[in-house]
Amino acid sequence: METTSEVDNRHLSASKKKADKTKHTPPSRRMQYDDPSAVAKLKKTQIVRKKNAERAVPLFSHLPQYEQESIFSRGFQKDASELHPAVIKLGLQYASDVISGASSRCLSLLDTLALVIESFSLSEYLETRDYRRELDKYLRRNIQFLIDCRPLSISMGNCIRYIKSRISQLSPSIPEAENKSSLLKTIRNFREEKFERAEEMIAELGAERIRDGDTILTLGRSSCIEEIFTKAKNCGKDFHVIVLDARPRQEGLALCKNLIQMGVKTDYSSLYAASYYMRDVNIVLCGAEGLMSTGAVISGLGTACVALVAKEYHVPVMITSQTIKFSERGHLDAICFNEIGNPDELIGHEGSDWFMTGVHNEKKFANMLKENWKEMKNLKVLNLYYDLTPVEFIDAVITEIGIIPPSSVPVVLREYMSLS
Amino acid sequence: MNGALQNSHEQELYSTFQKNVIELFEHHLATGSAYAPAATSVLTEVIKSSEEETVMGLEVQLKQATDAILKVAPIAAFVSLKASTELFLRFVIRTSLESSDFEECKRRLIKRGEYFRGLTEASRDKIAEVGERFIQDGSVILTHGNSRVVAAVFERAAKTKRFRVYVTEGRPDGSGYSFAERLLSAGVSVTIILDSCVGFIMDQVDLVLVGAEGVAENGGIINRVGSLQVAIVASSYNKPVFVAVESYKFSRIYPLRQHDLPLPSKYREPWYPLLPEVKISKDVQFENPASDFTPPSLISLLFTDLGVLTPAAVSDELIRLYQ
Repeated sequence: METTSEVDNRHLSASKKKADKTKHTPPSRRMQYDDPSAVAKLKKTQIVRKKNAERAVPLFSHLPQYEQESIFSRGFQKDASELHPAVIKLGLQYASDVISGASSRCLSLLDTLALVIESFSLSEYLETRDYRRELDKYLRRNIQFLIDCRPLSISMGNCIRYIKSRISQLSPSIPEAENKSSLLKTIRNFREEKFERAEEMIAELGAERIRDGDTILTLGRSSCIEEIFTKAKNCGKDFHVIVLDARPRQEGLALCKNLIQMGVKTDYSSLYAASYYMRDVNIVLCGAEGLMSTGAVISGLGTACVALVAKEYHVPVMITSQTIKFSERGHLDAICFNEIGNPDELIGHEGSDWFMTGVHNEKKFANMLKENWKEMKNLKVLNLYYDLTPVEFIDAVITEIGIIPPSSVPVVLREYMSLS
Repeated sequence: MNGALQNSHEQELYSTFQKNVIELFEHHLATGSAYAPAATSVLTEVIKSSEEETVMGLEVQLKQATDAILKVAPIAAFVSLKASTELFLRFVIRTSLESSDFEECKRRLIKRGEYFRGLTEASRDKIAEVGERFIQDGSVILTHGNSRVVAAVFERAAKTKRFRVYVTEGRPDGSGYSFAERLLSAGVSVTIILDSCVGFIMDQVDLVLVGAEGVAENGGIINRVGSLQVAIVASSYNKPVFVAVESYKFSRIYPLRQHDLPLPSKYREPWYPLLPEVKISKDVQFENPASDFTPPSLISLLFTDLGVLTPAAVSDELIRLYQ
């Protein structure tokens, strides 16, 4: 959780240092990657050894850089014997993109943490110790490993925060087994309420908005949007979907495949075609990684671009998001919070061959680039995951509590999150 | 056979129930009540006279009554009636969650219904009070439609200030004429203009004040057709657009396009020309939507009984009410 919240408020770093010197105020949990002392501290807490990035892109050097080598070849800088096997498995799945969707990452995290909590027992330590404290410590190490594998998403951070707050609310006077079972039950309920039922609700609300004859444009793939289309199709609605997609991940292909199997009329095209398609589109539907308290949306790279085109053509843009993705932070750009992927994905892409046929020299160059781009000192490659769409480009957010304007994110945080 | 008999009996009971509800509703309207407070009174009376013994049964009955009211609702009041009855049902569910004893619950509901009614009746004065401050001596104001709340704001302002009001004619039924008459009797100087004259007049106007049939979740308004046009012209001249509206018209609908309006199919009344002497071929088609949707980006502020709100604050209030 620490890692995701360190990055913002860079300008605060000076005032924070002052605050640290006077011992009265507790040190802020927010650190930034470009603060050398914070980076040093962060490095200490890491379990997996990190290498210094060779080719960081200037504006993004504060983000965790993509690691080419696997976790095991880099080795552990700390005792890793406490890691739960399920956590190691999950971490490797995150690192290798086996589990990559925002929802599936979150769900697998909840399941794994439930396993960890289930297998944790005080008897291994001193029995007189506080169950809550020891569990919290144990979880923190395991979560740190997951962070080392891939930075947490906003919703994952929210899930962990929720579980931790529940742990701190446990009563020390109750036997450990009871505490454990109540904790597992809350996690189960949380999972059901915030994900399973939320997704159903979003699908229902979204499908209601689709009318016969509508053309809907979407970018990439989002599980919520796929549910909406499934639901609308099952209700017998006749609509047309345009799936735009972008290199290097091309997640839209999977959505496209599923839509075709459902029998939905589908167009598949590149993000560059957004302005061509937009004149025929009735609604733009996009998924989200997180919603800021300003109403801005952090979402897969390209969403801001699509929203911009949609605004120009007066097409309403709707975002689907569970309320678990709402964040109290208020970023103004996609620089403070982002993720960097494997640059090789961008450079060494098979798809780049076709338009170069016939241009012998350029093809040779592309091949050469693939092999030795790291040797070219004046080339930097940036494979960014997310961008930020400002609030004025979004017309509505479909959440499990209803369709709300993006400006209502802080209200939802205040009214709903205080209850949980 | 027996089942069918029972069914037809139930059907009969249902239709007499609906008839009674409609009669009661129309009686309230005849005594000069606005639509939404009248509906609230009817629903409260349904609770009073209900013989149901469970909250579920009561809910079903209230829903039937709501359906009956909506069936006879005139187009201009449809959205506000839908919103206020929905809100009332919401109150019922909330109260039933708070107390387990049914009789106690019923008593509270009746009390709440009466309180709700009191609120809705007092809201017009409150709006006039907060809205009046935005009118300055010598202001030139453009209004569209025939809203009682807007009239209340003007009447109150006219007591202390002098200002000029442009009223649109309001085709096809010419509702602007009666509105102008009303303002004139309150001592306001009024000029009637054609609906199509809005662009011509806009550079002289200081502010636009309209009413609303309903307010959507995102703070946009549903109002008499033409309001959208007025707001677009006003925003291109950077003139503020104010909306005077009671908070019981806040509704959990979220239109993004004009076709998203939750109006029944009958909302396209038969078109009739204001100029009956014009002869037109029968093959010419007419389209006459009664209402349009003005998006929140074109609205500056809403004067409501909850105070002066930005469009974004509507959703805040709704989330709080419907949580």
